[in-house]
Amino acid sequence: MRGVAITGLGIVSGLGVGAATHLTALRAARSGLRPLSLFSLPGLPVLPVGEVDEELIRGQHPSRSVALALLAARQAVAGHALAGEGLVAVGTTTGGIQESEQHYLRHRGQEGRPDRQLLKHHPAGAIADVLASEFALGGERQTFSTACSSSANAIGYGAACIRQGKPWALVGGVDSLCRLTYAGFHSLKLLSSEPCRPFDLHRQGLSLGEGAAFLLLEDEDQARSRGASVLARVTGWGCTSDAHHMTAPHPEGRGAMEAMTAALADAGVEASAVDYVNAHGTATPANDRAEALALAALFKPPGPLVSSTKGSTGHTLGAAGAMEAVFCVLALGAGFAPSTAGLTEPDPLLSLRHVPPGGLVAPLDVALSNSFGFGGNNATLVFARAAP
Amino acid sequence: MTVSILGLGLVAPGVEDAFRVRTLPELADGSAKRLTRLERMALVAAQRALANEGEMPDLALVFGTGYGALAATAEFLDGIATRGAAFGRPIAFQQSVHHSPAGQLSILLGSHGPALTMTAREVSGESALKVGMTLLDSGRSDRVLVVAADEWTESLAAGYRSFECPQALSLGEGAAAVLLGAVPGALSVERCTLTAHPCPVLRFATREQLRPLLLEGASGVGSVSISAASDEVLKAETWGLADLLPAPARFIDSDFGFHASAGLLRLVAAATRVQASPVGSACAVHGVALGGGQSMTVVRHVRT
Amino acid sequence: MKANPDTQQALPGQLKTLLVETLRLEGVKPEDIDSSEPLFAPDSRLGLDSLSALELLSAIEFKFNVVFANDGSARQHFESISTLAAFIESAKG
Repeated sequence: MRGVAITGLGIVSGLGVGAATHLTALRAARSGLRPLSLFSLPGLPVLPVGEVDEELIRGQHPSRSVALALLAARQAVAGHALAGEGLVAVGTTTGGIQESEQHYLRHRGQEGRPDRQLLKHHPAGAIADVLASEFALGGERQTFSTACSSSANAIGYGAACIRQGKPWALVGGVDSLCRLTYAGFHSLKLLSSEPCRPFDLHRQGLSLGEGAAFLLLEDEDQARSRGASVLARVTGWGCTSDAHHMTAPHPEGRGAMEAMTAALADAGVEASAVDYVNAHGTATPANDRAEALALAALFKPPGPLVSSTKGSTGHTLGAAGAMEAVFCVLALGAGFAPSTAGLTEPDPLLSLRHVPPGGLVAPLDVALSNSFGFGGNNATLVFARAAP
Repeated sequence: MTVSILGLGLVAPGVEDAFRVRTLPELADGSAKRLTRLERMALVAAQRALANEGEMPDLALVFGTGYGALAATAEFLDGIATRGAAFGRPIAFQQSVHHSPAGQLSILLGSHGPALTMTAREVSGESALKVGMTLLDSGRSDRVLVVAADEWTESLAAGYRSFECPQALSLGEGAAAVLLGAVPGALSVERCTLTAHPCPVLRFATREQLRPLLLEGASGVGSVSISAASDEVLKAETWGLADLLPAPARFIDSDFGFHASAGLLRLVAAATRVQASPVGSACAVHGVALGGGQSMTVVRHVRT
Repeated sequence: MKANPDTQQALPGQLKTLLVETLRLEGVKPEDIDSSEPLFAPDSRLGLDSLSALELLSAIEFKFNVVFANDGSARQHFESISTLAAFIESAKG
């Protein structure tokens, strides 16, 4: 896939808001994980999560996910005029459930009319509607809900649409911390009691997070001719299915390898061209092992630099693909590969070339980002540094 | 690029069923392991659309749903409320994930191609169709199975009622599937346009907003399938069409009831009608969603 | 503490009923399950997987007010109805 430029981006997470804040945080390998305070569930432990500072979104919108999405999307579109029939593509796993679950727990499926405002933004597709209305954007709206790969697929689809001739695409993802996913992941015994440790010998599970990230995509020639800065390019998208199990990844990472292979083919680059991989790296024993096997099968030693940023933001589910896309763009632009926060003793069974502690300053031309979701959905994106 | 419909599948309420699928069909191979109602409807519709096909390991799947497995979501939250958050039911949680039916479908079919789940309120089926067409147009896939499914639950019905939208319409449920291929065929999808208008989240677009795409799609076809999602929408569609196409050429497939996936069920019904009509017949299927979404899909009987 | 013989007889039966109900196993009656047959092994006739194990774990924790450790050691207790019963007995004993 050639010629899809990223001309805007925005991000909010447990690390804070904005590209500069996040790049600084990545350079410092800062962790944004702290004890859950957004809600409490009797009987469940208070675990480290990537919770967004309330001050950033207070009073912005009655729906937390909409508020997060607006905050990130606003940064991405700032200074750009988006006319004509473009695309808004959002990835999310739970949409407005932060509020609707409160309605359900209170009223257990009855009308509960006095609280009905809590239901207003329940449908996951409502976020794209609000974004489009807020920025007066016409055209196609899509919401991808493929679990943890949602926003990676939204970005890939957006890039494909730019190649098919759409004038612009606002693409990204969002998810809020909520009782459903917190209790849900707890029931699957996938949560770590300490801040997560991707690829670590002593990793014991994931830490949840929340936030939003958005990219503005357009045709590269169009961007340059109108004098817009090109931050990076989206060059490849691969999407595959494990067809194996509903919650566990294929043990040898077969679907993951196929997704990475497909993305590289789409980008027209060899595996050896990849300088940096932002892994899915959730810190569950199963994911990290399967992903490492897939990476080892695809990349000849020494292989690209690898890190997971989930040690800094937590696993933000529907927002993860987009957040990690932003991190790849920042890494390519800054010539800096971020290290894996939370990784202290690499698991010797995983043959990976970890980014050293403190990160690595090095020119990076091609970055690859993985996002793997429940139901065996694997999505990989390839990014290239903007040509000078 | 020609996009042909190679298979159609439907799981819909019977006329007597008051918009609910009273008897869940069995999967073709008899397996129904740990599947929710929503998944069962979706998988059976898929099997029906694939009935004439052999194995397709690279088949792309695009699943559309407005609300996903609400029953499973409710069941998980009920568990929190009654047993306590520490005793959540992991199966209900897994089933509550919007992508779950698509994941089950990929396992059932053994397909390793892309599997995407789309959600766009009441044009979710059409949304999935659009994404499927884009996968074909861009050359990323040459066979795409588009499936849409939504289920009736008390909490969803209560939700619509509490906002009085849409007025006086029966919430239904069902599933539909369309197998698409980038090959010549008897039945083609001539266009699929998804757009949306600035609009409050709990309202449909205005008649002025809807008219341009409605007129554009309905010109050059012999029949139109209108949404009639509410009295207000019916009036808007009627106004929008003005004198284009006489009443007998305007279909309202109200037996399906109203729900987020009904648009794809209506598309299957329209395709079936068109296929049984003379070569050259075409139908424009119009869809609208709360929050301003609008869809226009044209199916044509291209040759025998 | 001396094991209560009444509980010892009832517990496997309770667990079999809990398993069938929790996992909604159609066509399987509690009394058809042998107390020592493998539940989750690949060749188990019940065809249960890791997700079923977690579902059953949650149901057992709730019903019997016990807690399984989350360090991978729980797996061994899920071999059969008998091993589960033994765990519950020792946890409560």
